[in-house]
Amino acid sequence: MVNYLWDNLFKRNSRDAEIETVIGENYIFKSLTKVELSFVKNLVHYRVYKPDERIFTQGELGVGMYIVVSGTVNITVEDHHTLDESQRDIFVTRLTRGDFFGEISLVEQTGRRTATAVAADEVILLGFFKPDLAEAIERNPRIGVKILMRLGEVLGRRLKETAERFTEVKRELKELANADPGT
Amino acid sequence: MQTPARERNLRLRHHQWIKMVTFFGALLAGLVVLIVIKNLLLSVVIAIMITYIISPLVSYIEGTGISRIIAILIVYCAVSTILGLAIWAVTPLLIDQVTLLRGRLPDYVEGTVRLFDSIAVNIELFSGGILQVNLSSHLRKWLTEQSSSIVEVLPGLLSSSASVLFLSPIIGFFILKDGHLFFREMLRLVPNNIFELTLSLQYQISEQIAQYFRARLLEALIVGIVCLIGFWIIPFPFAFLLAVFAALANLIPYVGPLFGAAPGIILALINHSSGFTILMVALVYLIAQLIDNFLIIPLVVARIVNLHPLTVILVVILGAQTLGLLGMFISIPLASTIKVTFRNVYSHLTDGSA
Repeated sequence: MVNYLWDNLFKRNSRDAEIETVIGENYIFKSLTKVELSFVKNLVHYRVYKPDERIFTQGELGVGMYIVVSGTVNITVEDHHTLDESQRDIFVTRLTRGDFFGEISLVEQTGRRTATAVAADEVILLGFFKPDLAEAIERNPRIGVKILMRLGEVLGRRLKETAERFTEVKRELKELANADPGT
Repeated sequence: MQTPARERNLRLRHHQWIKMVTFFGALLAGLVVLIVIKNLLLSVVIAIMITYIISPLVSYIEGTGISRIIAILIVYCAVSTILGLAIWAVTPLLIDQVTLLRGRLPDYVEGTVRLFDSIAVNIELFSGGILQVNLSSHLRKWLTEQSSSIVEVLPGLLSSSASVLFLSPIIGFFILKDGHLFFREMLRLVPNNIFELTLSLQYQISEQIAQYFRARLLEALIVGIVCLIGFWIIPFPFAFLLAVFAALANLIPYVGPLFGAAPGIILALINHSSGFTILMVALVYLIAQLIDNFLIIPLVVARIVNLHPLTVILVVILGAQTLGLLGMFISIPLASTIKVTFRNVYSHLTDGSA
């Protein structure tokens, strides 16, 4: 019994230390001081997922972002144009320790998930959601502003990347049309 | 023979079910404890109200860099000092008015009987002697019993509510200090497949109830102040007692204002023969209600609780039948919680906007 209690205590302490490290390394929380990080540590949610367990599904209402602590997360999108059920999920990317996803939901009013996230193996994630962001802004506006600034930067960068990709696809389509004027 | 993927899926579902049962079991157990232990539900409701009223102030102080526990202590000290001073200032007035009321009760009983006698005579005259009503003897007996029991019951009522008054601020203190940690621990039990939905629900419900309680208290305060000023201007006896009663009764939706106005109007009917005074007393209540209904409710309350008036009346009746006065008070936030829950769950299940 005593051993169990000590084990639990140490496990909890090492988990707390791990959470702090992962948050500290994340781009969105990087500008926070050590004291501020320990405040955020009490706001995030520690979640464990079994292999093949869905984290969220495309089309569901999203409330926030996740940071990968350990394991691998597969991101897929559903292709509604294909009739073949087995070909419907299109693999987008594989995320590992330190990666984060779903951050758009933090600032959307009733945003729906644009992709599906599934645990490829046993996965540990840290969830940071809209209510947590609201709590940070209310209880410690300094931390709230720092997080929002970084979040703005990330979303701006994502928008820029998407715009660049869009231009690229448009150019490719134009080239294809020029190369084959008959079609 | 089962395929590994199917087996993994089954194990996953089993795991989710265990978590689901644990979570809802814990919720149910908590609810049972709240209902079974005497005065606990009322203490917790008052504690939550205290929390909702002072938490913005605590968060504001915490936001300046002071630790949360110190911020809570600062707010608690400030509020207790203000309340203490208010009680100290008001108690002599309250004692005076209660003593005066106690002394005048027999006269009021007689006055009420006379009032009903004259009504009975009028009915008799109006019906040409067909309807003969004899209320006075029964009424006198009933009123004498009730009025003496009010005076006798009041101290007992105060001492039984002492435990609630003592418990509520303590529970409120711990909700303010560790409430978010408690919710976080509860959320740990939630299965992954409904985690985001539960978190979002908890946030929306908590925000809605907080705003609702703050708005209701603001309403009560304004109704109380308007009545107090009005009764002082007229002038009318027991101004403070009547204003406090009107403010407290106003916390009950729909029927509250009628309850609140009843003692003042009855007192005016018994005490004064002048129709002008009765009209003025009714006018004070009317002005208070007009300010409440045309200013505070449209600007503050209506935005918070989006329920149809008929739904509100039905849930208030249901609340009164199940939990009495407390039920009437908590029925609207409870109904609004159920509405938010259904809307969100429906939206989650159908992945469409509700």
